[in-house]
Amino acid sequence: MEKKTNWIVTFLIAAGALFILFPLYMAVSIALKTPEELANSVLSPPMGFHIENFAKAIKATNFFQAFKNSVYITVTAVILTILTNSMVAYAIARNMHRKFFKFLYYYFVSALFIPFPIIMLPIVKQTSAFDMNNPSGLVVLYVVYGVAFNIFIYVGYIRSIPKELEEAAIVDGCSTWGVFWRIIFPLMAPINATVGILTCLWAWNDFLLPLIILNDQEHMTLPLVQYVFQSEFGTDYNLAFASYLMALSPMIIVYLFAQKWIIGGVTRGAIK
Amino acid sequence: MESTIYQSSHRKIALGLSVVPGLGQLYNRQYVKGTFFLILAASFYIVFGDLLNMGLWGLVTLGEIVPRDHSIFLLVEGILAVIVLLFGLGFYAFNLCDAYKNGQKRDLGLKVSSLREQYHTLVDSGFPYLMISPGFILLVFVVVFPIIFVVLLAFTNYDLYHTPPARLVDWVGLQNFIDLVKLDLWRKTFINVLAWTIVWTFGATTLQIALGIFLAIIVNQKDLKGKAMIRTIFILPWAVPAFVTILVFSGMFNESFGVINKTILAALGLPAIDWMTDPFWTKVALILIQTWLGFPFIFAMTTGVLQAIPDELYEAATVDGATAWQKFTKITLPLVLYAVAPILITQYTFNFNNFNIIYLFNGGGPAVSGQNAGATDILISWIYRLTMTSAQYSKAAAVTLLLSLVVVSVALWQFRRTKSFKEEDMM
Repeated sequence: MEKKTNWIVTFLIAAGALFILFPLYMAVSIALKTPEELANSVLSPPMGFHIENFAKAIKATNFFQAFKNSVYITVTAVILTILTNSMVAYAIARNMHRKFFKFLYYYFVSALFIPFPIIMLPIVKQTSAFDMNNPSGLVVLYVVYGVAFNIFIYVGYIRSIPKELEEAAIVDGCSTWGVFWRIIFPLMAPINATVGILTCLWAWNDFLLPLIILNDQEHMTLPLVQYVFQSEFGTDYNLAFASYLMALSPMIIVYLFAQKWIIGGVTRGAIK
Repeated sequence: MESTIYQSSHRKIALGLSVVPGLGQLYNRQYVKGTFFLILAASFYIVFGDLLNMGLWGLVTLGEIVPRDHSIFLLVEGILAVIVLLFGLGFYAFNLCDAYKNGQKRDLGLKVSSLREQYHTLVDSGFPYLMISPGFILLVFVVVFPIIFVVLLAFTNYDLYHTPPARLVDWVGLQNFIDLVKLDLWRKTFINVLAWTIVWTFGATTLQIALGIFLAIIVNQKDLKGKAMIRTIFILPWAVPAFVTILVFSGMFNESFGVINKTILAALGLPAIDWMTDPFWTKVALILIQTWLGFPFIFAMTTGVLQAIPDELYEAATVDGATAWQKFTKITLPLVLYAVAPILITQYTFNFNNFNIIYLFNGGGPAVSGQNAGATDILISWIYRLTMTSAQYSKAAAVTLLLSLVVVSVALWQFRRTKSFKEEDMM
């Protein structure tokens, strides 16, 4: 009986794995083929390593510029989010007994319920009016839109940190500012990691916000430049897939190295 | 009742003088504070006087003369004026309250705190306020302001034919909502888009959840070898940025060049399918792709839950003579569903707003005659199309408003039910 279940399970898993790996295999193999190879057989593995696809793709999408923009936006957004949102959450969490701060908590968290389309049009007009239609403006938006969810999970976490630690530090002559940076912030490391990972995934992969905010070619992020293949290079699959491969490889590498961390972080954010 | 204790009426005089901000504080001999308030009030008036005047006028009229008045700027200024006014009133109330309190202190013969003391209380108790105010103000400008803007826009006729600066925009009352119901084009589009949005949200999400939980349970079998590698593979789609995957799939589903039509279906002897031009098959393709994209997350979550279920439960069930199926339906499934339920709901809202897949796969197409949205446009991509490509701003705002009413009420309803939001359980 043992053997039989094993066989079924193995089959299911093999099918599942195939189902998952096939598109990825396609992306890699097509990226490495020449158009002639592709025309002969789509499924066969590539014969050699065709670097010229990548070179052409880098040119077509202005890859390095886009990569630089994406890295800049993601890194700044993550750092600013962790620094500012944790402070706001700390201020709220330790004052929740006061009416005003309770109101603030609901004010911040209620932004979670605002569907994005409702603010899409005004945001476009506003960002162009305030000269914020550039990567730095985008960072500000990520930090502020992240606030709702981050405060929600930060406040829950901070309230589980015993107050006695802070009281002891204050008795020893530490200022509120010092208490936060020397005691609370280090204690928040796990939840900071969660927030950082979530923000990073979001900012790196986001397509809609850059699409509506950025309109200068120089400012385009990695996701945006890929869209060029939907229209202009419609049939040049080798080129398009080479470019897709370059766009997805940084995240895959990060993922393979930090797998445990990422899954742990996201699970902590989602299951409370 | 307490007035008998007061020996003087400084509090009333201070309150009265505070009608001009700062005078009450000066009267209370808080010279620095009083001067500061006075300067603040004066500069508020000087800086914002014009904005308030102009903004409120603009908000009512939306402009009167064509090249001079830009209706949308006037609308923006109007909303800004209202927000600034509210902040100003808040400050004014604080000023009155402060003057009264310090006057009261003097009436009771207490010493009014000195500048140094005030500075210390400000630094100590003001610290939380200091931390919060930037976020608070930013949120006003990127969330509250836009919401007011959209709500107001839904009651104007702002579209391609009423675009400033060449033309003026006017208030039209409920006209946009009436059009959505009465005009055939709009009614048909609205109903179709709404129907597909609902099918899409429930179809794609349910499928990805079912697949994720199913695979997690299978992989979690005791007698399976190489679990770690299998898990890594199954979570891989989650690590790939969604926009790339969608574009890869879009290439694979291409009708004339894509690998699915050209190789797989041909090898099976099946005719090619119009994945991009037949509305039905486009929808099928979208749901399949979203399942591929979405299940790893559920898989990872469920795996986490499964590993936390103690073995004793199963051992006890075995002792009691439960079959494998009974163990599954009575132990595994309820525990998994209970733990991941909150995430499942976020998955539904995520797909409801899943703009990326619709836009990147084939831009909401194929086009359908007799309506101004593509066959696979969901509400969010339709709104995008209305605002970004066809400049139907006021209609888009009206649709947004209707949509938001539904979404916000559903979200609030479900969130009130989740435990973690209730304060008692917030630990």
